[in-house]
Amino acid sequence: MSAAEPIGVEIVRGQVLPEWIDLNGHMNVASYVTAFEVGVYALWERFGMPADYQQKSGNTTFAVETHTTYKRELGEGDSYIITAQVLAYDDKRVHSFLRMYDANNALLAATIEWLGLHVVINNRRVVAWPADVLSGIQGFVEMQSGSLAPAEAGRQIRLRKPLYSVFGEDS
Amino acid sequence: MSERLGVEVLRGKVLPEWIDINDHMNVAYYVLAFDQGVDLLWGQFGLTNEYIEETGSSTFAVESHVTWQREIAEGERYVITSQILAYDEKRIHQFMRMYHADGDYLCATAEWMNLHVDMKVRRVAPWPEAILESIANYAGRQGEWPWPREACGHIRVPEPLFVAGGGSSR
Repeated sequence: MSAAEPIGVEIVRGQVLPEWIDLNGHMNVASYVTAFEVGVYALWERFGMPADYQQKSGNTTFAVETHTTYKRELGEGDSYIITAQVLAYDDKRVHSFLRMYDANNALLAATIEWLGLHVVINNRRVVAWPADVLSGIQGFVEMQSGSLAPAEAGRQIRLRKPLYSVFGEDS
Repeated sequence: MSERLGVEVLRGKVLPEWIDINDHMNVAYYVLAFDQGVDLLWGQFGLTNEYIEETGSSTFAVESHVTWQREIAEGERYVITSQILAYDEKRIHQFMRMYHADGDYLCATAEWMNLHVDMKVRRVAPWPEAILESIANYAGRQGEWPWPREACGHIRVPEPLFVAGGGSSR
């Protein structure tokens, strides 16, 4: 299989840590989520929510749903690249899709679909994105105009009234 | 508060190192806890760590779908249950629920698709006969259980030997 051009916007690079390896001698299922979460935080930073966002604003994000596909094994020390694509968002949710590529051969190693919700940390209630974050998300989406819905995306994770969606109206 | 669904496979407690900046169990550790449940479920089929080492017969996850329903915090106890949704001669599709052990409410769910792999060649291979028989017995006792509404609708065994709820709600 020949390597295709990575899809999505590159947001983070990393390397498989020794403690991520399981009995099968490859990266464990939970460690993919750990690696992808680093990517999610890098994406949040692009939207205008840096590492100290929670501390400064009193708001945070909760994951409510993820869908992971494991395509190819990664071994200890392997380098990877994570890219992000926004599939949909509304005034308080963002539905993003991250791809992990093996940095050595540019083949897809795993994907994760991630539905994040904006929440007030004190009372754990859902709250609208601040205007600057919303425009950060919008700016990111404009960069990826013409993006298609990924084949790996599930059918369950959907926003009911998205401000933007790659899925079209019939999904 | 509702009755727990599925067959109990694991009881555990949220460890301090599983807590993140939101003061609750971090997403990756749910997957870790569910994966520990998967290992114990495999053990019920006879697919123990010893068996895996002796026979070179293991499984790889190819897909997982997690939903978070309620937060769980440090030191809180949970129960993980499993329900077989479908299987064939080399795949198993199963659904796990994590309940808060004291509150008795649903905290999270995890849907998994796993393939049986011959570790000598790292390729998909049919289940050993005894394991397939165990899976069939285990699933056979759950034939009437309905398809879970939290399932993602994307994960499928193409030609299942068994499917939950007769597959009507798939």
